[in-house]
Amino acid sequence: MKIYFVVSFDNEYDLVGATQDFRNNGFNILDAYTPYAVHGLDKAMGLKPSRLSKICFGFAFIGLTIGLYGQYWISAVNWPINIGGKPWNSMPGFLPIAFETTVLFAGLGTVFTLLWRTGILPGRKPKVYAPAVTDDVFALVITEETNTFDSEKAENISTKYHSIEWHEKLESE
Amino acid sequence: MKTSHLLLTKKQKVWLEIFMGLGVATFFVGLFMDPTRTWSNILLSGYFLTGIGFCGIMMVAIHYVSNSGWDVVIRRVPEAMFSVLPIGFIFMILLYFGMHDIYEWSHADVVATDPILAGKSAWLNPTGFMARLVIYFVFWILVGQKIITKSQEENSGGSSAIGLSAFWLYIGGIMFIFSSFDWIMSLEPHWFSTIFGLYNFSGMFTSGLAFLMIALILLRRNGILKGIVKIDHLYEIARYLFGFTTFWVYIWFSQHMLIWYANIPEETVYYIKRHVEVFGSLTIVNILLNWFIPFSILLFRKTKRNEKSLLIVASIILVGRWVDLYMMIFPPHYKIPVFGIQEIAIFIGTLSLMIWVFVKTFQSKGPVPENDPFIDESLHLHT
Repeated sequence: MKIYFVVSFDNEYDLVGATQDFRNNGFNILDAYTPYAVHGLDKAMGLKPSRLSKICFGFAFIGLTIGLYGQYWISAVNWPINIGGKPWNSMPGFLPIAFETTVLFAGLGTVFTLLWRTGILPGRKPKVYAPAVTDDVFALVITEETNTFDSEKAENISTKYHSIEWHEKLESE
Repeated sequence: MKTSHLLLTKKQKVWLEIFMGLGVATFFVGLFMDPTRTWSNILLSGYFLTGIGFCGIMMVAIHYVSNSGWDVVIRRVPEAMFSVLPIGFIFMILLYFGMHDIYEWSHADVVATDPILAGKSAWLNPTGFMARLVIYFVFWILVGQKIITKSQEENSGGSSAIGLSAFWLYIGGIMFIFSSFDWIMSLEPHWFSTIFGLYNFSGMFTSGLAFLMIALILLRRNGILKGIVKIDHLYEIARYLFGFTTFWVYIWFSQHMLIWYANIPEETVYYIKRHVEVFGSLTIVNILLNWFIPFSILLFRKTKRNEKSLLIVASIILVGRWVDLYMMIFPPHYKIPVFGIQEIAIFIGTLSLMIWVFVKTFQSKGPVPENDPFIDESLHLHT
């Protein structure tokens, strides 16, 4: 059985400090919830850089290929039409459209990958550990196996960083 | 706080002076041997310098207007770049003596027999050219100096320069567009392109950013800005650079594609000169240097956060800017590219002068605006 330890702070500096301290003491951090983006939190949580940029590049490359090859196939292979005496395969004229398909594929592909990987899909029931994070509270959620969780140590760290509130929650609840 | 470090050793200073001297000597010898080539080089160097100085004060103004905080610790560097602008003024004023050698429209007898040039003579005439040149520079320098004075006064609690910066950006930017029409586009007075000013603006911005980047990295290595300017600040400049090299190719291609598409003889004449023989390969080199190589290197987060790769990219872009200007200025007069001692000596001399002035100005002021309200935010920049 898993236990969730939810601890709240009233400013970002305590949150970042506590996050670092919890991690240094070997606690497993599930996530941090803040009313706005906090600089340096990703480093404190030990998050790896996002891999989305690679996905974005891949989709952009696919978009570029489809844009270029599509136009080449349409205007030079399948239905050649003489426009203004230009060659059928006229690269400069294809580039703007290839650019647009690149952006379209990269943008949509990245967004849908993000939605799919994070599971933010319609009808998803949100897990709210500390409702006050939607207002002005910074919350940190730590998850451990019930039998290995050192609740005294966790409470000590929380007090050290002026936590305003903490509570424990079991998986079944 | 005055800078106590010496930025240049005695030996380096001597070298700079030698290069400047060689540049001046080449200029005078060149005047007798081949005036057209010499004046083209002076125009190139002058416009390059103007771009660096213009970009310096523009960076200061943009960051004032956008109320940004991250740039405060690096602000004294673009402010020192501004001191290069008066040198550009001197170079461009010199053109008064070389006007007849490079500008076709400055010959009254040619204009009289050419209906197109006669129609444009209300704008393109020597008096108007010089008058506009002076107006541009006087505005850029006087109002720019005011912005910088205000920024310096902030150290002793003066007011901010936001309104003045907005005014400078608006008027100064329009003037830059017209200055590129006047100085560069009028080399081929029969031809015109309305995007030409923007094209030069993008080149000016990338070269200015590249110079700023090199200056910051060297100042960090020197120790003056070590620990103050973090890799995060360089990362911000690198992102600018990444965006604006792409902007450059975007504008380059926009101009090229529309002319290619319309295929009207009076417009294509510009690209025919630049797309055949040796100039044709130079066009490819131009795009490689100004866009493809910087874009490929700066695409990754790791390279944008690495001093060494940034130094390489910035140097490539500065060389690319020279090639870009060369492609604008030389083809009207030369069928095959000319490159030799003259080009090298004058440009190296110009660079030495630029570095000398930049270092002197930077050293005369404190390296960091200590009492700026945003200084704390800037010191703690996280990216």
